[in-house]
Order: sequence, then structure tokens, then C-alpha cells
Amino acid sequence: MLKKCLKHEWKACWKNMALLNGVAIFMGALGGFGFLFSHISELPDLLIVLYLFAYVLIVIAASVMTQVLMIQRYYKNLFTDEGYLTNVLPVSATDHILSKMLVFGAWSILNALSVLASFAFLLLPSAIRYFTANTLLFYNKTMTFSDFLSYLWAQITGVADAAFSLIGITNHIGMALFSIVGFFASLFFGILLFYAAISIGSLVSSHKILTAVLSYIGMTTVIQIFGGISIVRVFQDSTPTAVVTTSSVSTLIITVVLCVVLFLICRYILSRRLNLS
Amino acid sequence: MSELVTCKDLTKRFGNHTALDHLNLSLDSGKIIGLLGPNGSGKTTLLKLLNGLLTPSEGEVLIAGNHPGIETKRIVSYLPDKMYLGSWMRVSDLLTYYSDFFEDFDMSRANAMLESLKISPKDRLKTMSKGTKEKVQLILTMSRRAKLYCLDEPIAGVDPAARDYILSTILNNYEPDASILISTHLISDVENILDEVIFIQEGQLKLHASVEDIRMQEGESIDSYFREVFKC
Amino acid sequence: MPWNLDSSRPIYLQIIERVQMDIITGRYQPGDKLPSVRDLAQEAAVNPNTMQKALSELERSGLIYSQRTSGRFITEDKELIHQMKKELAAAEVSAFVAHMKQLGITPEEIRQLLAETIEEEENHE
Repeated sequence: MLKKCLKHEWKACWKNMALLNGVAIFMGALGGFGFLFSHISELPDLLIVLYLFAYVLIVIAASVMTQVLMIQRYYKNLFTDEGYLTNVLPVSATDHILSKMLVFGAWSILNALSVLASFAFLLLPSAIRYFTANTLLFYNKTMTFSDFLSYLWAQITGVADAAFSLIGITNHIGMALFSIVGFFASLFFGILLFYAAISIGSLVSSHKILTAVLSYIGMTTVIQIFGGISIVRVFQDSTPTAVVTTSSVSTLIITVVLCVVLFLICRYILSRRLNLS
Repeated sequence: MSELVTCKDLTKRFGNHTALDHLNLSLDSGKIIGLLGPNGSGKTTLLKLLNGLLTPSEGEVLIAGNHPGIETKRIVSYLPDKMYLGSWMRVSDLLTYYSDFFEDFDMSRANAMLESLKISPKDRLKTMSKGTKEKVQLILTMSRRAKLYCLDEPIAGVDPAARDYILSTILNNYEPDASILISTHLISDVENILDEVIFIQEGQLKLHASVEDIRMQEGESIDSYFREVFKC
Repeated sequence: MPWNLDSSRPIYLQIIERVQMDIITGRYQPGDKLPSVRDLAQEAAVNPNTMQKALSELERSGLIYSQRTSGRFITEDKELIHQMKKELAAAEVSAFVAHMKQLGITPEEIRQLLAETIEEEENHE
């Protein structure tokens, strides 16, 4: 059933999502090619300012709306009139929540990628033109564009190696694993926090949304405080290396545990405490 | 004939309002049952409890021996009194949706009914009138080969001609071992197709009897008997 | 077209009466096959269980009989049909007489009225 849930969840969301993120990419491409085919110095300043203003606004709006629509989808599809169909499907609460969470996660990633793509479209055409026309003077060394990119990559991996060696991870597989688990744990943690808040809001008979907002704030506060306490505890430890190790590893573990707890809250409410008014 | 639905002391409270009050009820399979009562008597609440959309405050409800859950959702087909369909969908999307999720969904039956009501699978819900949307929902509900159909006010929003069609649709698609629970206040329109009636008032069971017995004993139609029982 | 049924009387009784009338008027000939319960229920716009009950009653009275595989048929026993016709007529007449008595009309007057009405009808034709 999870497969079918995912299919229909995707089908219900992809048009709006593709449109939103498509507009963000288009705006980047518009600017990028606009700058490429004209000389910036010849364009009126006002036009550039207006465009950049609109561009930033649209990229932010696309990201915010991606989140808002996906949060709203969970609420609408399960706890409003649409829930009269969703909740009579022979589908487990686990499959409902998982399918929604995975599609939300996918669109969060796709949104990040489309913001990146949008930046790339905005900046790359001019950058490539610039770099192909000139060599770059960097630390008194002349560089081509590809030299510059490999220099950049070396810097990034160097920093990553140094950071990971602090927490005792030296091999690249370990680094990748730690990053991937950490990335998904925090991605799903963010989503499940919204879902749990909405589910808790559904328990009261009136002011469901207000209750959801308040429980979101409540949960974040509680988690922050406990997070803070545990960090302080860690700082009482001895060496700086130990601090970094314990705090990053324990943050990861806590995040994973919290994901499970939030998921169970959502599942319990959906399967045992559902009350559609 | 076996027991399909059992309610034991089924109670539902919303805040300090009691919508269902220790309702005890048992329904057999193979019956068409009218669920009748004044507005706010708990009809919709009962149907929602049967479909797991509400959690009982007290007591329990069993369908074929199971509490509402995945097992019961496989065999119960529900027509709510709400528009539950996303307006962005086409009729064809809905057909896929139903056939993906409900194993007992009969696509050819659904298509035949859509055709006789001149609803094209390409139509979008957004452009439909309220009455047409209700018909689509009814077609989807009745196209399942379920064991229990819960129909909440299936004929309230449609014109008399469509009412006749809907009632004949219900009769047509009714399997002998299935039961249909119809909540309505349009008693005279449905009473000829009923086996049994349930009268509920203020969340309590007032009467559960065979319609022919009522006609025999009271010498009047269910409609006028209802008016007598619930006289204000 | 749903049958014209009166919801204040048991539906199955009205179905029985209706089938009896259809046999008497010749709409159903002796030996004719009846439609299925489902189709009849659909036609009458009544519950299939009610239709089933009415047909069972008719079977019990012998007016229709069922063959396990091929369905239900109208009896070929013309004597039985004739008998039923006589019974229905007798019932109509006794109801009529009772009505007349209620109106305070004497048996002699009833006979006279009947004779006059019949004569009038015949003249019309």
C-alpha cells in the first residue's frame, strides 16, 4: 500500500510544486541570460534593482510556499473534508504518514536544488563568459576557470576532512554515511514536528489550527531547552575534541530518537484518536 | 443471515454534548436499513463511528467482529454528507484512485453508471454542479462490492428524477449478502426499499423494527409513523 | 416505472395482489416465466427481500411454482386460477355489500341498484 500511497501523494502535489519551483528557476534563467546578452553597465540601474528585488522575493516565496503547501496538504488531506475519503481507505496510519513525509522530503530537496539551479542560471552565464575571456588572478597566481573549481573543491574537502577527523571519522564512506543520516534525520525531524503539531491540534474540538501552532512552539521550545542542557553538560567534559565529538554524535542520535517519537505521536492520533468534525 | 454490525453501549461526547448515548444495536447482513431521526439525533455520528472517523468516548462498535480499522475499511463503503473530493481531480483520476485503494471496486460498474448519467470521465470536479458531484460520489460508493454500505443523506441534494435513479442504483447494486444503512429525513422517498428502520432520538435507540411489521401493526406508512413518534 | 404502492399497507401484500391481478387479466398467461426477483424488485422499486417474501407467499398458495434451475412460472392449473378469481370476486362483493349496509341500504335496494347499473352499462355499449 505504501507504493500506492506514494504514487497518489506525488500525483496530488507535483503540479503545484513543479509550478512554484519552475518559476524560481525561470526567474534565475531570465536574469542570467539577460545579463549575458546585454552589458550590465548599459542597463538602467532601476531595472536591475527591481529585477533583483523581484528575484529574491520569488525565490524566497517559492521556498516558503513549498513548505506551507506541503504542511497544508497533511492537514487538509487528513483532518478536513478530504479526510472523509483518506481516512476510510484501507491504509495503515503508518503508510499515510510515511508517504506524506517522503513526498514532503522529496520536495524540500527538490526545492533546495531548484534554488541552487536558479542561482546557477543567474550567475553562471556571466561567470563563464568572464572566466573564458580572462584568466583569474588569485593569490597572485593566474588560474583558468577549471583550475579555480578544483581549487575550490580541494578547499571544501580539506575543511570536511578536518571537521570529521575531530569526531573520529576519517574514511570517506563514514563521512558520507554520517552526513546522509544526519541530513535525512534533520529533514524528517523538521517535517514530523509540523505533522505532530497538526495531529495534536486535531485533538481539540475548536481552535484546531491555533492549538497546532501553540503545540509547535511548545515542542520546539522544549526540544531547544533539552538540547541546550545537554550541550552544557557536554561542555563540562574535558577536551575540545571530546566536546565536538559528543555534541555532534549525540545531536544525531537525539534527532533520530525524536523523529521516532514524533512519528509515533502522529500514528497514535491518526489511528486511535481520530475525530473529524 | 449473520450479525454484521454490533454496537455495545456506544457513546460519543463532544465536549459536554452527548451525540450518542449508550447505543446498543445489532444489524444483520442482507438488509436495507433506514437510519431515521430528527436533525442532530446522532445519525451522522453513528455512521462516522462505523467508519473510524470518530473514536468512541465509551463502548465499542464492531463490524464483522472487528473494531473499525484496515480490516473493516476493506468491506465498508461510505458516502459522507460532505464533499470529500479534491476539486483539482478529474473523474478518471477518481476512478484510478478508487480502484488502486479498494480491491472490491468494480470499474465497469462505475463506468456504466457514469455513462447512464452522462458524466464523462474527463470532466473535472471543479466545473461540476453540487448535484453532479453528489452523483459522482454515490457512483464511487456504490461501485464497490462491499459488505456494508453507509449512505449519509444520499438523496438530499438531488432533484426527484435523480432520486429515483439513485434509489434504483442502490437496489441494482445491492448484493444479497450485503447490508445498506441509509440515513435520511426523506422517508417517503426511500421507505419502499427498506427492510428495517432504526429510529434514534437524542443519541438513543427509540425503535428498531421491520418496516412491514410497522405497516401491519400501525396500519400506516413509515413516514406518518415517524411523524407520530417524533411529534413536537 | 415503479408500481403504484401504498406505503401504509404492507408492501408484500400489495405485490401479491398485483401479481394475482396480472394473472387474472391475462398479463401473465399460465405457464409464463416470471422475471427474476432482482428484476421484479427493480421494476417495482421495492426491496428484493420484500419481493422474495411476496413470491414465496404466492408459491405457497400454488399460483406460481419454481423450478430449481430455471426460475419461477405461473401455474398451469387453470382451475386454481379460476378459483382465485372467484375468491377475489367474492371478497369484492362482500366488501361492497358491507359498504352498502353502512349507508343504510336494504338488500332489496342493493339488488335493484345493481340491476339498474348493469342495464345502464349494457346500454352504453
